[in-house]
Amino acid sequence: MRCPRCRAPMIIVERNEIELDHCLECHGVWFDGEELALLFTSLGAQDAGRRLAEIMAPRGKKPRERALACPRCGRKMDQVAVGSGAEVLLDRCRRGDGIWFDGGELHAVAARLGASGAEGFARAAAFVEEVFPRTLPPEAAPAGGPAAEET
Amino acid sequence: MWDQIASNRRKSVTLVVMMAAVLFVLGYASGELVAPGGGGYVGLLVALVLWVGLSLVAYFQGDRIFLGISQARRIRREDHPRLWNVVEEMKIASGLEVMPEIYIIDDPSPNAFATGRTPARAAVAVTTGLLGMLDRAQLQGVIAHEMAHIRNRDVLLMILLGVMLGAVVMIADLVVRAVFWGGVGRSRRSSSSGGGQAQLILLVAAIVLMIVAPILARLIYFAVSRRREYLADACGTQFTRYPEGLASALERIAAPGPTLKSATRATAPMYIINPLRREGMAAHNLTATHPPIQERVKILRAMAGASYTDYNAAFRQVTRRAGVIPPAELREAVPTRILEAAAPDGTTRQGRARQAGDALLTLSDYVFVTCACGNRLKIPPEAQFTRVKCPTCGRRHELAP
Repeated sequence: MRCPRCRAPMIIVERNEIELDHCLECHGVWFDGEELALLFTSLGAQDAGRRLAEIMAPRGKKPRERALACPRCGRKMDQVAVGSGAEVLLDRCRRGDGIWFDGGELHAVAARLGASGAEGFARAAAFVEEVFPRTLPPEAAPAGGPAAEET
Repeated sequence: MWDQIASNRRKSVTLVVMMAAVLFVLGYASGELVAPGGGGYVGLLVALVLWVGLSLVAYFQGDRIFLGISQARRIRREDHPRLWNVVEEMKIASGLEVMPEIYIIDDPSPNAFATGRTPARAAVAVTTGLLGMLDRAQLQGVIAHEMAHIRNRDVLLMILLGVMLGAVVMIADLVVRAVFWGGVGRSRRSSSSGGGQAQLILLVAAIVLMIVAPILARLIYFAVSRRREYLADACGTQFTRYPEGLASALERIAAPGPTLKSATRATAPMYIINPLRREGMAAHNLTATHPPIQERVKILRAMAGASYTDYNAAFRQVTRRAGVIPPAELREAVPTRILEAAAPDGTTRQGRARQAGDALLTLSDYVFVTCACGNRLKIPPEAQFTRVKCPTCGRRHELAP
């Protein structure tokens, strides 16, 4: 799958059996609809998908910029604001294929979701923060840890 | 077993002939309608050519075309050992001589189908959604059902009937359009004499036929396929000796997903995860309209043993109709006990989804890297990276060129 922002091929990062697509160029993250469902199910937050939609509001007439295309279905995505207060945006596929976090907005969105009060979101946000920490730990030398590699 | 195949063949021939009759009568009537007086034979010829042509294509290329359209990927044993083993077990249980080809389709909606014109040239295809959803016993139930279709030679029959249904619908549709938009058939030459009225009656009869023929053809088609589904359920249960596997698989496939219970078409756009995105595949699939799933589940759960006799008894009890298994088959049925429920296989839905997804990624030449922090990185071949940095822990991994 290609990055909807910069068109570079994205890698897949699997952690705790959940997959996220990640662009190494612009650091954006694609959270696939199916993966989101798997995550919510594994957290026992069955109707989180619906409640997540409730705290997202389409951003009205003036889009911030040209709409991005969904990396899965290729159709235009909606820009939606998350929560209230200073504007935090993400892009959401209209068909429900998934949501796109720009590199810069990932942590802002995660914080908003975490603050929304719902147990499922807080843990989902924690998961995203865990996979993509705000700052990387000091560079681990490849020789230092037994970095198992297989191809 | 062989008796059933023979009896199936006789019934199949009858139905194919019936369907052909519908097609040819329709062809003749269409010809008469478009060009009265002699056109009927041309119409008959067109119907014949259409039928033979479509049938030949379907017979020789149907499975390839169908697998191609659904973008099915053929797998090897090492790509998805769990699926491969289940198919192999069921191949042995069903007594098929040749291992069918196995395909995976990248589609989140759970589904499966069998194809191939003979048992020696068969294929089973399942979606990634199905692989993620079902545990081993359930998957076995579904695969056994598909193997039963292959062994009973249902696939070829349904292909041939499907082609004829297609031809009937096509002809009727074309002629109805021609009549409505072109006003064909109202030949001025023939309306001069007293034959006008007779012609009018013929015209009306032909139009009625245009409407009735596709419905009739569909009824025949569905009647056949419904019976086939029940038989495949009965037959598959004999292979697994565990009716609950298929019953719970059907239930899971039919049930809306856990997140999706309150969804309707009107609220669907509100969801992040589209709750209604389960448009299955057309053609001969496991959940296609045929018999109501709830009924199939009830029958399977009412079985006292795993033999045909048990299925037939359960069928009569649940549907209050005469049995569905051919009598000759019932006479030979050997009492079979149901196996005890197997222990849970320890797989989770996420784990199974990963397994199915990884099989597809492997087929697409992705490179897999396991990082010491617990991440698995999957790198697409088009990225052409020589090294990759784990986004979680920052470790760098060199990739083999």
